[in-house]
Amino acid sequence: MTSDVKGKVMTTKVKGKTKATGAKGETKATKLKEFLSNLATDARKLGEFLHGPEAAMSAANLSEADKTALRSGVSGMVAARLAGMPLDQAFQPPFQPPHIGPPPQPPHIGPLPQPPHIGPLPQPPHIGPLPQPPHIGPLPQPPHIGQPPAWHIGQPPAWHIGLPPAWHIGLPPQLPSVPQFVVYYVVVYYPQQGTA
Amino acid sequence: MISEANTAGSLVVVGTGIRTVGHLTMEALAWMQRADEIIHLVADPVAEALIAGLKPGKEFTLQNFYGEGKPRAESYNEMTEFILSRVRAGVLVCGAFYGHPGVFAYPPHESIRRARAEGYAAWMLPGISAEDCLFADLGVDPGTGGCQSYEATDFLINRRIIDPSSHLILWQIGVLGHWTYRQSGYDLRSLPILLYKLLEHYPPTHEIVVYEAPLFPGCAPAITRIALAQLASVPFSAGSTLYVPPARAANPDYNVLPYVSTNC
Repeated sequence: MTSDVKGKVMTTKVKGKTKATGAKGETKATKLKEFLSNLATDARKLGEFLHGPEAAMSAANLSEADKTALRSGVSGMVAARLAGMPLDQAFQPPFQPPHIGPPPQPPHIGPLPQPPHIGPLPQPPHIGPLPQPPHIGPLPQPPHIGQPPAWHIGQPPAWHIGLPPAWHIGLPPQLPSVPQFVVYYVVVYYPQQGTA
Repeated sequence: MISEANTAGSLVVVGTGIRTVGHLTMEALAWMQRADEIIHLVADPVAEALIAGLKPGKEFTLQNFYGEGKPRAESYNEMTEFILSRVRAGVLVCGAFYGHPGVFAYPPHESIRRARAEGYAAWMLPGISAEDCLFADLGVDPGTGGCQSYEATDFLINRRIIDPSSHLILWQIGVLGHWTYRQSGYDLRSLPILLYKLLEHYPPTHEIVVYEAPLFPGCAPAITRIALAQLASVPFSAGSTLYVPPARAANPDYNVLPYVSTNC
């Protein structure tokens, strides 16, 4: 099984660059491929399969292994059968998601790519508490499903249509003190010995 | 369009959907039957068998333009050039691509653009993409809260602005950080950096979904729900898509709201 992109796993393995693929020899999976490709092009047959899969599979003379793969509802098993793989090898237990119960451990985040060292000493990487998430406390609000959010259509909050809210046009806010790189020289006076 | 297509070479690009059985539209099928040749990049043996049955001896796969460790962009350019060479040869070419042929697919768009620039008739028909499957299987409506959709690597390396009140979809999470094709799989060493980036906007306990659309009829989608903090501990396939639901309600603009009609 090869892989490409676009949200789909590639299961084809065709040899020979840009050669017509129709000339391939018959394989064990030919019957299953034909069955499924017929479903793709014939809406009536697809309808029959959806309403009565057992009858449709039997009418197509599918093997028991192919039927089992289709019954499983697992894409990987069908893909394996299409590749001619025996059923016992095709079976892969479904992925077990990690246990969601106890609070998750903070992920081990390795050192991020460090920028070149320019200027003052860089801050150490963020070790310890994780970056503060936007929502600590109440659970995240669900998206707007059904009822729209409580927009105050009737009584809007104090909209400052006329004058803008109090903008501080006077003195700018006091900035926090920037790091000072001042070298203080301490002059030590040593009285000369021998003078009195 | 048909008469125009018959005069000289022409190109119609169709999608076979993620699940060929059921996603292939009647119009796409009609053009595949009508075309002189089918050039395809499909992702399963069913689609391949279907195409081979429609145009025996006149269908060509683009799959082999991929190469181990070869930059995908290089493969895509070669695919485009091959498609155009057949159009220039004067035949009606049907390009069949899995999913939606215009979603996360460079060669179809580029082939159409260049074919038109050279004076050939060329057009695209829509198909069903992995995102469409995700909307259906996860019950997500992109119209509710909006939806941001990015290729995962693009999202990682660029300063995309996240709105945590919208749905977020990251495509190709299983090939994160890779520009080359790897048959043997992809290492995801940059996944923790993506996690770090997401944690700037979402709490670590925020539930996310690793999703993979079903490929065959009767098969179930692969839906794995995890906490965001567990992202780096989950296995991905090349077909995995990451869905991050909204983390908070939208933030209305009360300055605009009075000017919006409420007569609905």
